[in-house]
Amino acid sequence: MPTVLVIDDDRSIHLLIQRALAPIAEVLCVDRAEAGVEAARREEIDVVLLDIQLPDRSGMAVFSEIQQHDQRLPVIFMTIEATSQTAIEAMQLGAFDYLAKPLVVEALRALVSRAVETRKISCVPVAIAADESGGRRDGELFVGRSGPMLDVFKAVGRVSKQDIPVLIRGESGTGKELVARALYQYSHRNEAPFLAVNCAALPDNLLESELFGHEKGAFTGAETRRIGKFEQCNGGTLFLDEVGDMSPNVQAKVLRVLQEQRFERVGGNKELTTDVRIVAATNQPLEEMVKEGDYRDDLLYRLNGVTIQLPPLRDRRADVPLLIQYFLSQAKRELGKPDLEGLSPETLDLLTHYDWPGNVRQLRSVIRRCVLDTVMPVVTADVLPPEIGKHSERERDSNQPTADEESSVLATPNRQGSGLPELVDRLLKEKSTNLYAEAVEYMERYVLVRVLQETGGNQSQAAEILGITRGKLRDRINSYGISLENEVSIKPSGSAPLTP
Amino acid sequence: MNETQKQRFADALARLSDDTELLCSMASLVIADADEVVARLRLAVEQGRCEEAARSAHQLKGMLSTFETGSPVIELQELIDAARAGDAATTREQHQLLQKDVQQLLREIQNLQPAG
Repeated sequence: MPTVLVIDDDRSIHLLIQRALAPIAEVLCVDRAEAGVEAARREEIDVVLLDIQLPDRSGMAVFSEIQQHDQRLPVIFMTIEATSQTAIEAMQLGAFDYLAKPLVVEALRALVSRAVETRKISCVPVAIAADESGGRRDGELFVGRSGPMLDVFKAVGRVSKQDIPVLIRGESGTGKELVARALYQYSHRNEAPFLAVNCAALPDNLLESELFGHEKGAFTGAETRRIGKFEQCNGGTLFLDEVGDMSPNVQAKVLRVLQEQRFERVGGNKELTTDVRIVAATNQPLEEMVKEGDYRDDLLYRLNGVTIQLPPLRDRRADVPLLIQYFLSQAKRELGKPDLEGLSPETLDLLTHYDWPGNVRQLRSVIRRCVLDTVMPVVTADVLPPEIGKHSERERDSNQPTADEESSVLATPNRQGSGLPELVDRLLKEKSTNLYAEAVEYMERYVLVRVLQETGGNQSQAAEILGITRGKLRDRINSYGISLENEVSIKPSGSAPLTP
Repeated sequence: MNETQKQRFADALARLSDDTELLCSMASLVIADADEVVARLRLAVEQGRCEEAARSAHQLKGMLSTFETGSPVIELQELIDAARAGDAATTREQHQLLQKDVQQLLREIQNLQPAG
């Protein structure tokens, strides 16, 4: 049976805790700080319940002494003065949790059980150590030794010094900008500027102005001349991210730069020349867009001088432990967690077998969140987001609905699109590390279905109403599984079609 | 514990999963210790020793809160705040206002003690 040490000067609290925890733990009670520190050193204690104000010393000071002796010992503070300030201070110090008096038997028992479990799993050997030097790889842009990544490194090496456009393809979060930076870093142009523009982030007219600049008075609000990225980047490398999201007008102007290195500012007559290497990236099916007339084939051929395909993380699982070590060490340093020792074997196993739909970006975000949430020196599986923990359950019982399926049903916009607050609440509760993207996706799906329904499934009209390109609309229709056959609807797996 | 007492301390019993025996046993311990704490608080307030007054009031608040979280426990916090701020006059004033209610609550707790 685990042993719980209670340090509190109130005898009635001793009695309460002894009675409440009798079914699950041995309870050792002391009423002075000195005796508490001594007991923590001498006895084999699994959890400490510590009053924040003791007659001979503050609970905070006692906590520090206990931590010096055993960092993995979960300490739960108790206090009658449950203010936000004391709660924050206690958690900042690294307390396991915080209980307000008067104590509630059920809550006390549940919390101590959780602390005992954490004590147990945090005492296992560390599977991946948060070695501070692990996060420092000076000059090295990539982490990975798997076959697919070695192919990427070779491709970067082959084309970096050639002055030709490169198209980088891969799912969101696979590191396309990193490849673009590597191409720049190893090129002859590495003393000149590297600029990046996300073509999907700007409306068409602003994108045109951002890329090519504008003359004073070119449009309402153009009060001064503006120099565009093609001009600023002369001699350097311009990274065009989400290059599938450009209007026909911008596509034509970019093509001209690629062919002749010439362009005009918006509202200008003077022809300007530039010497820019273009590196582009996309996750869209540009070939299909060409077939459907939404993307210029000549632009695709120009951009596509060389293509580098980035593998999704699920196709290079061998790199997951290396990436974890890198992000863990980085988080330890940047988030100020010097006592962090590493990751438990169970946590490593769950992370390695997860599919990572958000790829390396999602992995980094999860590791940082875990490091922030853990109060123990070892990151254990209980701090993982539920979708990762549930993954192993899914493997054990394939008949159960998966986390993604559950999530997709809830994340499917209902008739009024009014499920957003519920979705946000659920994601907050689940400690999501992808809340923004999931909330935006919910909103986007609702808007797309509603507008497509309004236009009777006509994509050209819908794209016009939405103010996006047809290519972008088609991409989203495919991504969200929006069916246009009879009635515009979303078909989440395992559930009936829902209409907005 | 009679029905009136069960109603009076319904919230406390709910926190203790309706363990009346536990509440009565806790009452015995609190009554045994409370006199000394109450006396220490009174002396500290009279002598204007704010630090000691705050410490004793905090201890008393912890003891009483098992049984009651409303008045006079809420007002005890005001005394603690005044004492911590070094405001001896307000501490004294607050103490005077509280004494009667604290004694009343202690009597009710005393009546919870198991017979014999």
